[in-house]
Amino acid sequence: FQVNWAGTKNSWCSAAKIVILPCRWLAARSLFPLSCLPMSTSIEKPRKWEKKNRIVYPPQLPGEPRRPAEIYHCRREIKYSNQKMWYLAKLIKGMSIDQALAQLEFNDKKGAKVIKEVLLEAQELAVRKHNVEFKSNLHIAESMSGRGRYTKRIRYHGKGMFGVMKIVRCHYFVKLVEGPPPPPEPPKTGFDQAKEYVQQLRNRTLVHTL
Amino acid sequence: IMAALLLLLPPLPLPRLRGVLQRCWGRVQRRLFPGLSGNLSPPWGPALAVQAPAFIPEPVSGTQESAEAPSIFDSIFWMAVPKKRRTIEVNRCRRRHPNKLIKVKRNIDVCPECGNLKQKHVLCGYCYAKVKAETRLIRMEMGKKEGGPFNAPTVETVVLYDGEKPTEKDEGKRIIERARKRLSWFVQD
Repeated sequence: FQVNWAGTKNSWCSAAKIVILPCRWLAARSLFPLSCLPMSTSIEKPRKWEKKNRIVYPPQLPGEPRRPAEIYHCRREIKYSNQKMWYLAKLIKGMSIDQALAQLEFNDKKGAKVIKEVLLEAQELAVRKHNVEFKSNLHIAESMSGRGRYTKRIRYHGKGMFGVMKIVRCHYFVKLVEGPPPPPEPPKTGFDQAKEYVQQLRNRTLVHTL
Repeated sequence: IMAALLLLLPPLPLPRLRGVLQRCWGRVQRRLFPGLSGNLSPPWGPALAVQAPAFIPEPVSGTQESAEAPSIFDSIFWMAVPKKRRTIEVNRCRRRHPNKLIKVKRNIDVCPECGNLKQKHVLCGYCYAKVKAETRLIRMEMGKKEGGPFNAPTVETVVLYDGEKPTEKDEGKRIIERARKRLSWFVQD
């Protein structure tokens, strides 16, 4: 999709929308990456998830099926471990938002409280800004955790010894999509695997011959 | 050849230095070329170097507990230690095994009183908090009436809300007044 700025000069202000025409999606930034210039020790971290809420699709044609609304939300620099957050993110993948909130409410982990807040915020955003009719009609399409910035500190041991400890932080990303959750995939049976194997054998052919 | 050179060199350096050099060189020669100086025995091949203990070990019946320090060191050598670094694939298989993932709870219901979620075998959190708050206020009233510790009366207590009078059944009981409307869930008698 080609980007149409629709007359906005400063395109990266928060109020601007990026309109997608049915061509290619071009990044509007200049191709010269600024990160190679020696600016300072801390480089701007890429914050792409927040920008995903800004895409605007062209109006749908009358015959097309309705495109479900997508809401992207995240929280950055949560004081929790990435690895521990992953288990919670894996728990709620693919659930409806009500079920996810129920599971998180009765989970004893610290990250569960944080994720619950994030989900409620995202639900609120969906209803207010993204034209979602029923707040229960959402399901979690993607839920991921990422590594935040780690800082190193000294941990004092006995006998004058010390260790270096890492203060660990993480990000949490969630994508809500309107509609009921998709049915879970049935687990692969042995019969299916055998059928696939036979099909692979049958697909074999001779190469570089007549 | 080198000895001849050495003999030639000397005029400038001191005679003592020359002597030292000659002796050093002689030693080096004997080490490297043992067959050159004819007086020595024919060169001997590599010999087995056996490390014999400095002392003859005592018979077995000797003191066993004297070897205390060696036994500690022995136990250090035999400690369990990882042989190889665990690869990320192996680590992932262990960390993502179903028994390590969080189980989905199937015992969550809706509380019929307030409509919040509750676990089946646990009291509803919202209702419990609400009861706890009211109990705290009643206890503060009781504390004001008693005036100090260890003054709890030996009779029963009755809590009365706005506009309620004590009945004949509440004759000898202590009465606590609460200045508000009776709560729906706090049923009288």
